[in-house]
Amino acid sequence: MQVRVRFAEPFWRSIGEREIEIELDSNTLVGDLIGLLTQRYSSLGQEFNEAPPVIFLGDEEVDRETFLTEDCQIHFVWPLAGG
Amino acid sequence: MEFKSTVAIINLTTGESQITNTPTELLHAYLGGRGLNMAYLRHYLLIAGDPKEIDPLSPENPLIFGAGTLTGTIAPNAARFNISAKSPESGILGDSNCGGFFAAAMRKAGFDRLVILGRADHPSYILLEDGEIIILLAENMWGTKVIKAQDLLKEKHGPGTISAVIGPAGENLVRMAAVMTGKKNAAGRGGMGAVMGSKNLKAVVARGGAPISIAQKDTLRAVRLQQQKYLKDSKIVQVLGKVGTPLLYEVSNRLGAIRTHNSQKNFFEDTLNAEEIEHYVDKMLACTSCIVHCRHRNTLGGEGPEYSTIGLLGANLGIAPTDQVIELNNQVNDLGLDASSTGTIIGWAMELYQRGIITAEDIGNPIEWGDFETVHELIDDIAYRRGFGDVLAESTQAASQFPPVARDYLIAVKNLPQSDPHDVRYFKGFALGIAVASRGADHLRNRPTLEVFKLPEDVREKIYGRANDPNPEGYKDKGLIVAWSDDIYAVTDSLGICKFVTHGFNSPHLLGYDHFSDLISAATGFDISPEALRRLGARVIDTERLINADFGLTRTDDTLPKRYFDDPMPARKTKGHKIDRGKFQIMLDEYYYERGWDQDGQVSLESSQEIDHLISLLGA
Repeated sequence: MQVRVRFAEPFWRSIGEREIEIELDSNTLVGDLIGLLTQRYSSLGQEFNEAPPVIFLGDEEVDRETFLTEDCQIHFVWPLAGG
Repeated sequence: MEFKSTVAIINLTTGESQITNTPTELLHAYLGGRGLNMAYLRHYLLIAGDPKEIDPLSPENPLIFGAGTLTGTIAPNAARFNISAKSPESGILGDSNCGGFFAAAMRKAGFDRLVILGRADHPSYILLEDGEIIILLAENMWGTKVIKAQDLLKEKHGPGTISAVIGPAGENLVRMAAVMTGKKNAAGRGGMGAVMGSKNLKAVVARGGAPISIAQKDTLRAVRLQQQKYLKDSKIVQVLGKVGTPLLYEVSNRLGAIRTHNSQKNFFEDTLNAEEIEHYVDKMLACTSCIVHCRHRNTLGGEGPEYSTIGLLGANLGIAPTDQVIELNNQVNDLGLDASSTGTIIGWAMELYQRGIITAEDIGNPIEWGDFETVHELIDDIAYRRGFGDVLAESTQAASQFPPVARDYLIAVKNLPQSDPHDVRYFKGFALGIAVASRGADHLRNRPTLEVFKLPEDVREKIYGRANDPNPEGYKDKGLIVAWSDDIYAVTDSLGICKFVTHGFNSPHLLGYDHFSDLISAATGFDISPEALRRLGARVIDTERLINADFGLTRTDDTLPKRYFDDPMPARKTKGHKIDRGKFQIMLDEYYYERGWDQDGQVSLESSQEIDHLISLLGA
């Protein structure tokens, strides 16, 4: 299945792209996607360790145990709320 | 070296000045910056008469500039000072914190604090130079915008001249006028620029002088290097140095917490994301002794924008094109307007127009969401008090010129428009914070930003001193975390240190009381324990509460905009969230308990007596 993955600041700078499309098997969990991404982009793994992201599936905040769905959009956001 | 703080009492009516030192006991109790300003403010307000009756734009209103204790030293990010007075915008405590280079220059020129009284006969400015105070005529620069005024002063007094100026907004007594210490650095909140304008004071200029005395130079250098390394390892410091505060926009927007169309909506366009702003960034700049470098110089002739400006002049007004928002940012700064209040007040007017509460006939032109040209013109009209701009120049007080229902749509607390673009209906601790903040709706007094991290229980307990509920959407334990944030932010404001390196503001890995204690000891020779520092923060909060009580404020003023109670957030993750009135009151009870206040929100007798004693040291 096709999944769109969007990266907020500062994560996108590790891979040089704001958004990527990725082909995954059905029954893939968010955690599996993270494993795949951090394998492909090693500096992203370091970023995620330093600043664990909030993960949105569409408008819903999800965790690593959530299943991805066909054509869904995943958004990795750094949790911040200062000013 | 003796720990001292020099204060100049400048009477613009008589042209006389007196230079003295702050009494030692008072200095040790408040240190400087915001804290010591509060002691002086209460003292001079009470001397002037009944604080409730003082017209903020009259000569009776004292205007106080106070540098932080560490400002201008090599302590990390120690650039800041506070300007305090009775606010012409809110009618209560006015206090605004500002970075840049001015405060360090003021200290080097020989002054830690200025108390400015009276009103000059003619447009004037104050020159601080090598321990001297000279009042000069400003007639050739009255009417100039901010950048021009700063340039003229530099031309006249030479390189190294740093000034805090007002623009046309301050001269025209616009109630949301800022004091500007650079192209963007602003003491923006509460209309301190209008207070300067009311005193016929165009600028305070600092130059010359000597390096600030340091008790233990080698120790301070070692502490600085150690803390610098610690801070540079922090992820938030690294990212702020790359992209600045605009990085926060996408986070709030994704969550569904960006104030949009006067908080009728809660998300907006991606055109205001940090990487879009980045196309207009020429360079990242820093304030005195800063190691973060979060301020942009933009390619359109100004500096910024910050996240707050992006949100409030962008999403809040429905303006999406990146260049237009940057242009509005540069415009408000050069006119000397507070971007937060300006964006909030124009957004409010737009909704009143949308609802037919005010009409094009009333105001001259339609004001539609996203209409950049009209907003641009309206901002000029506010600064110069022309047409409908003259009405909006009254900020929240413009409500008296509209039908009563207009107040229902005003995003303000204690008559101060909300400072930042984060819609607080989701994070309940944020809502409590702006409800109780001493200067009105403002995130920089006490925002418990760590709520977003959902930190593990043991970490939260270590930070806040006892176990507490990690659910940011809930109401429980929010009094604890807001009170904790109150105290540490009051301390950093008193030291002159930036929030971006303060423990608890966007990260639990920044400078806390232990670090501050080391810096104070090395810089001043005054030893104060981390525990005593927290008590000092609490003393500042209590003093502010007493000042507001002098203005007649009570528990009923610790509240939120009507919309935050009544209207659920419309979309995204935050959908359906609003503030429950009953639970809000329980949260308030808990907050008062944590502060040691009674259920009416009154400061304890013991604390009140201590503060009265300390302020009495300033004499009659």
